[in-house]
Amino acid sequence: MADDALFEFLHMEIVAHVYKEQATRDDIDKERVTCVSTLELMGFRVGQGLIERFTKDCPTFKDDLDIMKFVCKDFWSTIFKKQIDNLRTNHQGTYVLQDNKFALLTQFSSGKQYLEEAPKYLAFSCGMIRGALSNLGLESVVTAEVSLMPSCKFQVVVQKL
Amino acid sequence: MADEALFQFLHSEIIQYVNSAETGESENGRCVSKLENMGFRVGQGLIERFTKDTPRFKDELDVMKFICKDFWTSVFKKQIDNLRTNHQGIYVLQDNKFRLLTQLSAGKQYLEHAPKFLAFTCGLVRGALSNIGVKSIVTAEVSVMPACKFQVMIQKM
Repeated sequence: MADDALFEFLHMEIVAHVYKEQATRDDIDKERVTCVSTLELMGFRVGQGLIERFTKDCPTFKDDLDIMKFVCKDFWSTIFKKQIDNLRTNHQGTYVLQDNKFALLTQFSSGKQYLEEAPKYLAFSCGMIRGALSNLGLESVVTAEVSLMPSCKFQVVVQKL
Repeated sequence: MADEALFQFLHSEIIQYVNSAETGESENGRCVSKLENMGFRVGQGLIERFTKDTPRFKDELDVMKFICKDFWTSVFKKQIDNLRTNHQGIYVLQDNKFRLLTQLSAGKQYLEHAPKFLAFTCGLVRGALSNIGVKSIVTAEVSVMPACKFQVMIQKM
């Protein structure tokens, strides 16, 4: 229990810190992009390290889908304490992971009032997924969207090398 | 046994490949840099796995001892022979029979080629240290094959 709360609080503080630091600069739109990028890169680095530890004793994955299932079940459970609720794919490298109660959004009021703030709180996790996949040999672009709090969709587009 | 040979042969092939891709004298630095970056990336991953279940390191010297014993043994099948430090962030690791040099003829004939065979490992050490939270610059030198000294200079952040 303490570990969950620690990560959530630390995540909130990092988001707030990155935005506060950037707020002393000028261009508001450029500011937002830089903040998201900074948080995403932090997440990438964390994802790289975590996946090495989680897969230390795992057998080799047999295909991309097998990797995505691992991320949806084991990886997600270890970090967010629940599995991804739904995984869809077009079998051509695009995967959509839906979490109906995303842990980093549950502290927000439900509904649409704070929707525009959501991207700040998703960037780190997008980076974490991308970093994890990168260390498993998959290069990807990960984006996220929220239409109703606290439900979140992560779209993963795996790049063909 | 097979695993060791596989790594050594792969290492030799990578050096050959990177070298053949770059022609001319001025490209030598770029080869070394490419090999070092590969090593960095591998070191980052390896150290996460090796330290998954180990307790926290108590200081920098403790980290370096882990590198000299456990890390070196896992990767090169023997421990570092000698570790020296000035206690101000510089460490010198001496391996008297460095595995990736043992395939080269002993003596001075091939000394000038040694840097290519050390770059990957310098990166490996730097990457491993980086993921344990220690930023460093790692250089290596050979005066007599197959003995090698790695100098690790820890950056204060």
